[in-house]
Amino acid sequence: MINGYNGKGLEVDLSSGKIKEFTIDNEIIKKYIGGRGLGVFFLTKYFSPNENPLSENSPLIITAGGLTGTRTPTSGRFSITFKSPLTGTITSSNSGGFWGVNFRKTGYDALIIRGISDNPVYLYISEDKAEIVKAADLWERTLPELTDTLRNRYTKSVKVLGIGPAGENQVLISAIMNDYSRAVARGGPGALMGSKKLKAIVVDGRKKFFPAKQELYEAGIQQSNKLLKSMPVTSKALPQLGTIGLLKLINDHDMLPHKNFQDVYHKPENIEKISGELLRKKFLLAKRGCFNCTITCTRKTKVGEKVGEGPEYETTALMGANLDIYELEEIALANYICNDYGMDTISFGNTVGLAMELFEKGYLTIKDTEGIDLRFGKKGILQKLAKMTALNVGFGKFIGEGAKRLSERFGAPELAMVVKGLELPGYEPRASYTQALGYATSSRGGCHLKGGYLVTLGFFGGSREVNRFLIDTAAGHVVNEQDSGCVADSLGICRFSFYGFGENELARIYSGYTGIETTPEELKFKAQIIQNIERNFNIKAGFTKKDDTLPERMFNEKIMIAGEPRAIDKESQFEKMLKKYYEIRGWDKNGYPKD
Amino acid sequence: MKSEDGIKMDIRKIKNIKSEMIKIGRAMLDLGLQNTHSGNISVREGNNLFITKTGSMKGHLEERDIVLPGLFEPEYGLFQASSETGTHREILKYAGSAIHAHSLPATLLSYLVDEVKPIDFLGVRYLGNFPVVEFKYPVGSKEMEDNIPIILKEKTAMIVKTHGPFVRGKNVYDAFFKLNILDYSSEILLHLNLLKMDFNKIPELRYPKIQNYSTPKGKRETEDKELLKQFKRTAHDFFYLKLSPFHTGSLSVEDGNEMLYSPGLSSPDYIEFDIKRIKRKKTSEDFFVNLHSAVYNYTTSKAAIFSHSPFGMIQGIKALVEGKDRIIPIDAEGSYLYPAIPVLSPAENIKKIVETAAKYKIVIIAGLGALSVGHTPGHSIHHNSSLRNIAYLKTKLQTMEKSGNIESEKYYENHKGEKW
Repeated sequence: MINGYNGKGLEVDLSSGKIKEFTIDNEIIKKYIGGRGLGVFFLTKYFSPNENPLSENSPLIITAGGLTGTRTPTSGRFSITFKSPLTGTITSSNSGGFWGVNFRKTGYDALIIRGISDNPVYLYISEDKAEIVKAADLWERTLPELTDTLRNRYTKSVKVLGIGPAGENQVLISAIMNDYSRAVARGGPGALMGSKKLKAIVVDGRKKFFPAKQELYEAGIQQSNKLLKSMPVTSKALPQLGTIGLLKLINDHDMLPHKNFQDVYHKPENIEKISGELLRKKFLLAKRGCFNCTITCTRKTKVGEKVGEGPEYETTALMGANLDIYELEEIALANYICNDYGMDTISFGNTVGLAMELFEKGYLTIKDTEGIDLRFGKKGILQKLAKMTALNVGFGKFIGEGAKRLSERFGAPELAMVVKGLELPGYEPRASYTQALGYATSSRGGCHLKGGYLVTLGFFGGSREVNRFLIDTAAGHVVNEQDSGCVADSLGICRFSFYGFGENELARIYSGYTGIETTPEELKFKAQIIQNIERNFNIKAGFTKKDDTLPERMFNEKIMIAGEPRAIDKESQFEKMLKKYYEIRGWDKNGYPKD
Repeated sequence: MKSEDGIKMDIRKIKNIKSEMIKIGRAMLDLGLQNTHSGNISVREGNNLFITKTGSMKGHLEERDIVLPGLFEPEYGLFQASSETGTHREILKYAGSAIHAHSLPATLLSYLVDEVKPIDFLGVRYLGNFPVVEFKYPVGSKEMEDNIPIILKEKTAMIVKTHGPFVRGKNVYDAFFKLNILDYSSEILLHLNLLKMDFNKIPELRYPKIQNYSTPKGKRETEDKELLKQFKRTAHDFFYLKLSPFHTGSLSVEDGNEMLYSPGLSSPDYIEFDIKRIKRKKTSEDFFVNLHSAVYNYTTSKAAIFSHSPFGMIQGIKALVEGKDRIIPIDAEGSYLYPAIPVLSPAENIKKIVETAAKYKIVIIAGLGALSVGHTPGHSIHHNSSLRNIAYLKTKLQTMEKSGNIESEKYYENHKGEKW
């Protein structure tokens, strides 16, 4: 067994109620690292890409990262890999908090959940036992209620992951939440868990791990901490303002979407009303960090008598600025509902934005919305819409299907701001060509993180800054950053860490932890293999080169960005970048991996 | 009026502040005060803190490279701001501007001493003694944030051991002026250290009454385009040849009973300097004005230049300690042009200084600088720039002698110079 790993997984069949341990071969761990990589391996082993993602056979694969729970900064992350019921793509979503660390300490590197239970259940896993427990009494509970109940039932030290009413109702934009309000959100994993009638997973791990080569391990950790401290983003900005502090900066760069990505213009006084600076002054109760994290970007806030987490940047961008709603209280309260009911705030905000455009353009009528005035900027409807969506009632049923289905249902597919069916996050593609290419090529669709998160390298990359309007060399940067992201996801490290340290330090830590000499290049090479497997999965699931694209609006509608009217020219800019991307990835001209 | 940064300031004012910071960034690179990316510059305007973006190329700053992270409350500019923002923020609570640079002489000196005690006039006048402080983590640390602002409240400058100096100023020009003086003073002390100079033997240098250099405003009291061109060339050469720190040194040309006088001349092409018209017969409070006037009152020279040439000062101080009244060039061109360059004490009277300068073309006033005279500004600066090369080569050769690379520096001196 490789040092620092458990070398085994747990397979749970909810249809039969059987649980069995299995061994994970050393060679598999060496090749796929953990987290996203290991998840992708198991998904492709157990599941055919063209099967229904909500079928009995569809697995939910939970994996700890190769460095999850170690002293590596920000190493609290774990991954959930599945075929997305929202998009049909392979999807690996990850989350921080503490659950993943505790899971690894139960003695397993992977948890594979298949089948469908007849009745609501939850899983309890410790080093001594793993059991399926009835959960009828927990069904319909919100995440805070669920978590409090289970922690009271066991001990305060157990960690709880679960779904809220949105997941139970198989809302396609529902999330799995852990540690109250950390989210595995993108791609609708909550719906898959809900379809299995699995309400929660309680982990109670205590196992200890020790590095194989202490000195090497410590050297890497020390250097990583030093670099995190030296970068203002990770040492000052995120700790002091949280991710919502990005809002004004993103707006300065004309990247903040407005009215379902129709433009990026916001009045300065409106931006002040939803800024991170205002949140800090008016609503902040405390800042929090995930496991072993000094960045502490999580915000505990209070609005009136309600206490919750957020809103973060993405939530404020999509559920605020994008909807022409500039009331932080309203956004925060709707955010609390999304957290409590278990819903992806990016997909929710984006889809509501689409609904508003459909409404203003006459595709949707007041009859369709059952009396809700869905014009942009309409106040007082967000909380109601969030609850209706999570409970899958009224017009909320359509929001819960996500933007692609909603747009098709009402006859305007071109208005859905999605890539491969996944709703775009809060960064306008026309304001960052590098990020635009990232969206188009990300294996799970419109995601900034899986797309390489180039957008921020456009303005706070320090000396690593990558100009956001590059065309000729964009593909190289996108590939590089996507590979880095895949390394982080597979090791269980937060993407924000990469503003400070990267593969060089992680390779050193990983070598020290496992005792297996690993170079940064090897880590990146493994990341390329993992992404090629994801690509092949998507191809077999029916995705082709034509899906590596952007919403037509990005090509056809010029908007003022950085002082000039900009759209992305499909032939001379986008196709050129995409062709180069395929070449660098070693894919053929249709985007098929050659091997 | 609000700017694109969303702050409540006049846009012209913001543009002006950023423009000045951009110029100083370029000037820092021009003088090699940091590598392409390091160092940082900050300015306070009201309750706003302007600071250079982390990782930005200081010699090629654009407006977007200057961000506002908040002086009292954190603002979103923090996402891009320099890693030393915390230290700058605290300093700017009482100063108008702060600069951190990686001056090589200052950084090298920090390995040798715990306190810098300048001996040149500019260092003594504008910096005084200042500390070298060792930090456990000498880059962007809380320890630095806690300590450096306290030090700079009392001192104008300090050096973080193994890292580089921090200086404060009234505005960004003033901060850069101080930084540049620190760089020159450190160069002088560093080389005197390398020459194993016994600092106890350096006599107290009593400097004459000199008014402070003030930031030039671009005043031009002549419309003669040709003359203006000559002043510009001289300002450029002062700055780029490192003959005198930024906004120090002076040039004058005779104009009947008046002289056109440019104090604080050393500046790059993109920063202004003043040209004033002064009655030369009138005695001034300022030594430098009197010195330039005396050139025309007592000699037939038509132009005069005073520089604070660092290597000239190293050789001047060394000569004084060794009881010599001259330095003798050791290079071919220097020996040919100047068999000897006289060295005088700063306490010497002005008449003697200018007459010596007229006789030898250039004179070193130990610790203060060098006066050169000629027919035109170009003629005058030729002598001062030659002194730079002569003194540099002598200093380096003397250092080689100390380390045993050559037998004797003196061997290369022009023997005629002893009796010249």
